[in-house]
Amino acid sequence: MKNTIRIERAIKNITQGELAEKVDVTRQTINAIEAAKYVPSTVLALKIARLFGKQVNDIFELEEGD
Amino acid sequence: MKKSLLLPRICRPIGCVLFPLGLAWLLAFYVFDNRVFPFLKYDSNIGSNRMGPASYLFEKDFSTDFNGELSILVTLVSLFMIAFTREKIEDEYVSLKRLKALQISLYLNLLLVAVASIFIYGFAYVYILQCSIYSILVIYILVFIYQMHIKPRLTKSDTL
Repeated sequence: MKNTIRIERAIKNITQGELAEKVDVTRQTINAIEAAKYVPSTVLALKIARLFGKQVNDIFELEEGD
Repeated sequence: MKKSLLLPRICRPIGCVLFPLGLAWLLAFYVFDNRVFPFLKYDSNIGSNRMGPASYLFEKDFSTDFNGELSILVTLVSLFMIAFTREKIEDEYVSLKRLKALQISLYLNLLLVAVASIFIYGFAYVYILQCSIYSILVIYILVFIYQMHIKPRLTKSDTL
C-alpha cells in the first residue's frame, strides 16, 4: 500500500517523531508505514488522516498486487 | 481500543535483577549439587520404609528439596517479567513485533527439540527438554530486543 505521509509531513513541517507523538505511536511505527513496511490499522489510518485534515483515501492508496 | 495483557513497566527491572539470581540458584542446585538454602529441604519420610521420592506435593510421606522448585519458579517468573513487560509506548507495530518474535522463538525451539530428538538420547535428552522450557522465553526476549532496540539504531532515519 502506497501512502503520502512523507509529503503531508513536509507540507505541515513536522518530523516523524512529532507525528508519532500526535497519534500516540512510536517513531518506528511512522517510519515503517512511510517505508511501506507496515500497513496501519484502520484506527491509526483514520487518526493520521484526521491529523492532516484529509480523507484516508487521499493518504493511503492500494497498489497493484494488494 | 482493547488493551493488551502486559505487565507494568516496573516489572522489567525487577525481572532483570531476579533472573541472574534465579539462574545462579538453579545452576547451583541442579549442576553443582549445592543446596543454597539447606532449610528448604523437607522430608516427612524419616523413619518410614518408603523407597524413593514422592511424585506429588503433599503426597503422604513426601520428601523434596524446595531449592529445586523455587529456583525454577524464580527463573521462569523473572524471564516472564522481562519478556512481557509493557514498552514505553505499546502500539500496534510493537504488538506485531511481539508476535513475530514469539513466532521465531517457537520455530527455533521446535528446531532445537527436533535436532535433540535425533542426536541426543537418554537422560541428556530430558535435560534438553528442560532447557527448552527456558529457551523459548530467552529466544523471544533476544529477538524482541533486537527488533525493538538494536535494529532501529542500525537503520536510523528521522527525516522531515
